Amino acid sequence: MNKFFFLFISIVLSNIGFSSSTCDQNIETIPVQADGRIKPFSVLSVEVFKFITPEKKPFGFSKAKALCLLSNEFYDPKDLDLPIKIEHVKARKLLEIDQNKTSMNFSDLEGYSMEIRAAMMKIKENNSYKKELQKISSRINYVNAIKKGKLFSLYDKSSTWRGLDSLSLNEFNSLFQVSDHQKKLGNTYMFEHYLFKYHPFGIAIIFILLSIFSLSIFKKNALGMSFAVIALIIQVLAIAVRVYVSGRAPITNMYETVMFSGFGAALIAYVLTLFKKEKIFLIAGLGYNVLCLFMMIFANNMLNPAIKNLEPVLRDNFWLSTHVTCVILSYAALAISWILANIYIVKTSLGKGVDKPKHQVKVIYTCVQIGVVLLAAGVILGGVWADYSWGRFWGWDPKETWSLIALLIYMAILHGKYTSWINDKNFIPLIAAAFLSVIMAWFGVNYILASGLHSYGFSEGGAIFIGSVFLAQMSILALHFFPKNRKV
Amino acid sequence: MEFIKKIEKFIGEVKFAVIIILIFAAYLTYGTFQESYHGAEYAGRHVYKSIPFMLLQFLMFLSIFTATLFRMPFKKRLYGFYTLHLGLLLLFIGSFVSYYAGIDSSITLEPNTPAQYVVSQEDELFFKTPLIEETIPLPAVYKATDINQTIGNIKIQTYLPYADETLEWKDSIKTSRYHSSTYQLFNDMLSEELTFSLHDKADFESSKSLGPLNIHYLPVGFAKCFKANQADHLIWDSLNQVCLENISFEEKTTPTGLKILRAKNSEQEEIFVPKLSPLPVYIDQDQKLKVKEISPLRLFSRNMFKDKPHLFLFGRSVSYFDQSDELWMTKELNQIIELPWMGFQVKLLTHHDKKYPILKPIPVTPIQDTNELIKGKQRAIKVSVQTKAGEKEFFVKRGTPLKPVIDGKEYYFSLRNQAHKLPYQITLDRFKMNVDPGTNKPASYESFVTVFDGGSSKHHIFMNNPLKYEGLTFYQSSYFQDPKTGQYGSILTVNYDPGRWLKYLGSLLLVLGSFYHFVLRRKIISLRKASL
Repeated sequence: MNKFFFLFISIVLSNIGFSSSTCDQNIETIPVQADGRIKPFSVLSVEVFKFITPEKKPFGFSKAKALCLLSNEFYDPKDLDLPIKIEHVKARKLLEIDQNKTSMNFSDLEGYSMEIRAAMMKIKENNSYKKELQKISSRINYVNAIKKGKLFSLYDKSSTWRGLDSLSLNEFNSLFQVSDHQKKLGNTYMFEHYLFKYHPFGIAIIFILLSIFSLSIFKKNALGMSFAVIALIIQVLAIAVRVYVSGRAPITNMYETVMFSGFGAALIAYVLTLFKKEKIFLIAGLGYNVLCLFMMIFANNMLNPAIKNLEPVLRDNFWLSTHVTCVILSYAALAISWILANIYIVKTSLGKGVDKPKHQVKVIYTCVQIGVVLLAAGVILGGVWADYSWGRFWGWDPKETWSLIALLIYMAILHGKYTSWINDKNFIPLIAAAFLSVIMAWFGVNYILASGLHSYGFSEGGAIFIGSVFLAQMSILALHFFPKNRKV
Repeated sequence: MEFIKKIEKFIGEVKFAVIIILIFAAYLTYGTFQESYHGAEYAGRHVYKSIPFMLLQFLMFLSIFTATLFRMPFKKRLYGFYTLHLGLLLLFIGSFVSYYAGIDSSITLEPNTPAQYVVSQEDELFFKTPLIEETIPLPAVYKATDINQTIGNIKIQTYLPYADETLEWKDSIKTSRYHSSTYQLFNDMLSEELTFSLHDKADFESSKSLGPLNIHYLPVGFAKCFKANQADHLIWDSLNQVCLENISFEEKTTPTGLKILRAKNSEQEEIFVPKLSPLPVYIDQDQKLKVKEISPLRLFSRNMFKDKPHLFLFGRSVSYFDQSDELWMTKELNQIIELPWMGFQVKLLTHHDKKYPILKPIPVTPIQDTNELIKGKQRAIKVSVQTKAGEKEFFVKRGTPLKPVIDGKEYYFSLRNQAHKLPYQITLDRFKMNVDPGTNKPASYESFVTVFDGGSSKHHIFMNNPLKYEGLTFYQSSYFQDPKTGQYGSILTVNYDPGRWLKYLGSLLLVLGSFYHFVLRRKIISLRKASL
């Protein structure tokens, strides 16, 4: 009996060798190669678990430790079970789980692989249910890839990347730790680690809110302006780190364009406030900046913060930088005009004393001017880039067509303003509505139209967002056109 | 005169501009949704290259032009306005020049094969008769369009730019041995209708692979010999459509390692060399092995089909090798038959002796899904030929040239992309694809080509680094992999754009003009006001 007990203990002890010592050390900043990039283990673990599980703390540990334990399955299968994300109601029905449950254990889910494949084959069109099933099966594949040691590679002393499937347990234990030879890889992955660890954009939100509060409450602007400067500096630093890590302009996916346009709007607004001595610019710009930051932090389904490799066609830094920056800054300037117009509409409909439309129109007009010039330049630069890399200046691709439509709509309003058709009173709601064309060009093409050459930017979950923005804008416009105290 | 002046004034007015801009924007919006549902090419044909859209652009041009004229003579405060609107006019002119005189096409480079033709998106019908050879360019229409052009005894009728094919059974004048059938093959996961035919005019083959499963459609007479015994070899008499009965086989291997099969029954004796031919062989006077080309006999070595899933269909019956029982199973298809692979079942839907199946194109509006047409993929053109026996009508489909024999003479019809011959040849020496480290995701494509133009010159084409050669520009656009050799080929976009410099100049003026108009002018005015 005693002998058996001893044997049992020694088996248990030999099995936990890897997991407790290897996974408990400082593993967050180990550089790994995954998805064609070098990144810190911490960031990889966050990206992986965000995709596959709703758990904030998988197995009750930090994500890095959890991924370490899950990778250990390759050497020492303990059949760790992980709840896998199930988001679609129909998928929950297929998997016979409760309609309110957001996950299903991997071990149970694996038994449904055939059912999932069968259901996928039956659906002819590419609807959201089919996409969810594809996602679920790629989550299953993901977990299996981790368990087979195929998720990431480690940097060895001879400067080559080696997958777990080519490493013995001892080799793995010696490589899976922070060590000096990793310094040859530079320090970009360390910056990526800090960027995702310290949530600079969350901190920026606090300062922006403080700034807006101070600007609205106090007569003197100094305090509000200082908070705004701090918020801008934090964002500049965060963006700079991202540029340093990715090695390209910060405008290559939805997350980055939202990030950059929010920052751009705050910056443009700050400069306008300095020159025009109008704090309303800054309030509107910061208001938009906060909207963008909230989207970046909370609309995770729509905006993916992960830094990924680019499609070959986008790997031209000069044109990417100039064309997209121009367009995004124009969206930023137009966004300020949009916020200003909506502030005006809401204020007047609430009967609050606001100054005359003439002054408001001047303020809004300034932003529209900047936006339109930048948009025209951006659209044309896009044409030049397309001509340069595809051999055609203009191909009626939906992304370029919609940016042209947005430009045309603003042009129609500006031309209309020269005639008697659009007076000061109508100009403001029209500018508010016109921004919907920008939303369409920016998000709608990717989330609703989803076709054409720009398809490399497509992701999911945005249609609801666009719908809500449209509805919200329509309700505010309804306030303007049908005010409560209107005399009939 | 009064009236014309009024119109002129109306067109030059800002209100007209606003109306045109809004109509233009609305039209574009329609275009982007068309593209989203029906695909880029359809949207181009239906919207962006359509005559109403051209007209709209012309009206826009007219509006800008007249508006600019109205603001003459030059006023200093309008410098920005002039520059901006002149830029716009140049953009319109440049685009028109590109559209009218430019070339936008592509060239496909197979590895190490000289290429000389660039093809455009538009179609053409090429045909050859004993008397004439003609190429008819087809218009870039978006729905079925009557061409109604007659050349010699050929009449080109209707062009279907987007079509789907429906199965239609045609009466056959041939004997019943050229039969055809439709089956349903299904399991829990998928279900597929499969049509096979032995008729040479049918649009269907007599074999098909579905993943690991191979399906063979054989003459009805085969069923009998499949059922008769479990022999490894069968001998099929294609003349009488039966198997030879009571055959004894004797297998031998020559000193050179060649397998020889001697088949014998009471009436005849034949020798087969399975590796050489399914036909019987003989030794001629020079002691050489020769194939009996005219023999109706065919050796069918059934043992080759034991290891992998092979399904044999003979009209109303089915046969397969059951590996668990080590037996050939042959069953009547008067009911659903279960197969030993992945829960598959097979059911006979239709069988015809005197009819053959064809795929008839019918015009449809295409539907796209993630950049690929899922409906309306086919293109076809209806052509009729005047023959001695009267008019003969048929469809020519893209990708499958037709070679009908009419009044004893061979004709040739092909529906294909319009092609232009280059005065030189291009060969792809090497295609290079870099991948992101540790993955299979392409990071860049590069083509190394040689241009043969009397002499030869080497060039390196990659993304954002096109080759400019004698007025044409070649851009790296795509690639493909030869499924057989695994070698990569490259697709280049070929482009000639005489309007390019106009567009660039227009763009420059537009940006400078609008910058001046919106930003600088205001500053100058306010500065002047301040100085007063």
